[in-house]
Amino acid sequence: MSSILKVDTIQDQNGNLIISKDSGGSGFLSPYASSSAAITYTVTVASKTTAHPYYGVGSSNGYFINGIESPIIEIKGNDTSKPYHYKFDQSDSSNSGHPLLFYNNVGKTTGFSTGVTTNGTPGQAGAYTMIAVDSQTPNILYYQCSSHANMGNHTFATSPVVNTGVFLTLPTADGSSGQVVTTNGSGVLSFANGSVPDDAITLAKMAPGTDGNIISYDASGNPVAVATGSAGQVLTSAGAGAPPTFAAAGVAGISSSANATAITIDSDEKVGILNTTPGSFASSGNDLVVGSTTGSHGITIVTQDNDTGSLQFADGTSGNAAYQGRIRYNHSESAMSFHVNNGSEKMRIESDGAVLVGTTTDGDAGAGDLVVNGGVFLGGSAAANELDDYEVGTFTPTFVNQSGGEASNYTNNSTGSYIKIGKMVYANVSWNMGTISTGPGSLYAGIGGFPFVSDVSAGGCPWYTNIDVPDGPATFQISNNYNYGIFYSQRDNNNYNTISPGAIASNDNFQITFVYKTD
Amino acid sequence: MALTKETQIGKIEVVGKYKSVHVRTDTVVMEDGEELSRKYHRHSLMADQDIENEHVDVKAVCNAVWTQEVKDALKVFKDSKNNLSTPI
Repeated sequence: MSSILKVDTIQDQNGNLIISKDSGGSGFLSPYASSSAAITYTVTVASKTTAHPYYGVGSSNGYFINGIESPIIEIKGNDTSKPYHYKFDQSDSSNSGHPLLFYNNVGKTTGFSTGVTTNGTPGQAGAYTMIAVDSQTPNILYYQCSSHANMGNHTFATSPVVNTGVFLTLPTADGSSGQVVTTNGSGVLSFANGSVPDDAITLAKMAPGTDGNIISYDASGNPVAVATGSAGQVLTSAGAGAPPTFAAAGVAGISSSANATAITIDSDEKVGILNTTPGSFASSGNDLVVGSTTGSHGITIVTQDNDTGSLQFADGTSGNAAYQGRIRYNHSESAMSFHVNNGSEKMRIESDGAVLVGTTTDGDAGAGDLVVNGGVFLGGSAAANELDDYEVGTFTPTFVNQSGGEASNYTNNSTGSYIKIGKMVYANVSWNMGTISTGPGSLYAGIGGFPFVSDVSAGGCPWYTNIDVPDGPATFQISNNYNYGIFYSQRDNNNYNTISPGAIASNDNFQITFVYKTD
Repeated sequence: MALTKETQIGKIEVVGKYKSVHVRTDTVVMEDGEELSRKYHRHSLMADQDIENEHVDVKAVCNAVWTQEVKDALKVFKDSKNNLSTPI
């Protein structure tokens, strides 16, 4: 058999309240305190006594709740859809001029109005302030007169919203390991990954380091100090897995001491050296532009003194394609050569100034000489404009006396020289017959041993008259396709005779110069 | 420093209908292998001439181009000229 002690109030021996039916106690709270069935406290205002926590502070009046001088009031509630309502009835006339509201602190810095409703005018019938208590009600709220200081005390609730002077709503769910509590700036706290707001860390907050060092991260993501480099060096990536290092400024392999723009690369990748607008030059040759319109500029190719320097033109990377065209200076020969068509040398300027075209052999050519191994076209490029040969040399004239055959019965001291210009042969014979040992033969006398066979069909056969042979003036004729000429006695075109071989005797001398065409 | 002189067959040319051969003999003076001067001496050969004393290279060319057909043609040509006993 059980027994139940029913009391409305429990007080200590001094009459101080320990628990009251009206406060809800610390036990059951039922029935549900809806807005229409709120737990109602009667509020009156009277002079403070020493029982008041703020006796002697602020107003001399204080609130009395259900006749108790400014108690700490426990309020309960959690479900936001089912808040418990606590009504502070200020109908009593003593409340006139003392509206009861809720604040964050005793100084009433910030009012709390969530779930708080007021009605009527304090001191008049029907006047009250009611608060709906749920999980969003701060654990501490100060009930105070909005017009006077320190008249009330505070409530106490078990709530995730704590009042530390500001209202802070604790997170409603746990975060992940290592997360921190953060605020949305309106007092709502939540778990989040730790972060530092922009501009939140000042240099003063950083740990001291070594002079000149900077901070990087190692492969594990841990901060490491990058050692101080030398003056002028720049920070250079060492790639993944290693912190950067200080290295010489600029691109590896390029040394620069320039104090002004020396190389310009424009948006079309045209490169200018001492030229900032390479793309403005003719597109056929503006990939690399050197110099400007001010002063003299140039390009120098430097090599070892016994090697070659080249400017090459390629249309491929291997074989002759790598140097289809080439301008090359050979330092060991002090010669400049020009190469075309698979890099074949076609022109050269020798060290002595001789210019060789189509050959690499200078022979007797020297300073100022031009050696052309081919034709020179003058006044046009037709075959008729071509001068393709020039040659000076000697030949040995022979005595022709029988059917054009060379006589063999004489000694010959004669000399011949020639100049061949194109297809024309200018020949000179200084005839000096030695001794004719036997009869000079028959048919005719002539001079053979020509340096070139005649080709005089187009222009007719040249005649040379008044040749002073020992037997008197004669005509010397060079016939087509022969390499010798014949003497005729001169009368006219219809009267002629060959000169007998016997007309040229031992020790006879004469000179003859003639011109003929060869093939 | 050594001076040397040598003769070279500098050029062999075959010209004309009757395959006449132009021969240039070069006399080259060299000092330690470097050419100092080059002089030319010429002679020409027709297909009916004796080449017994010619340079082997010249002989080779002559024999190559002086076919019997060429030689016959030259003979016909010369005969037509009556051995040049009259002017042409």
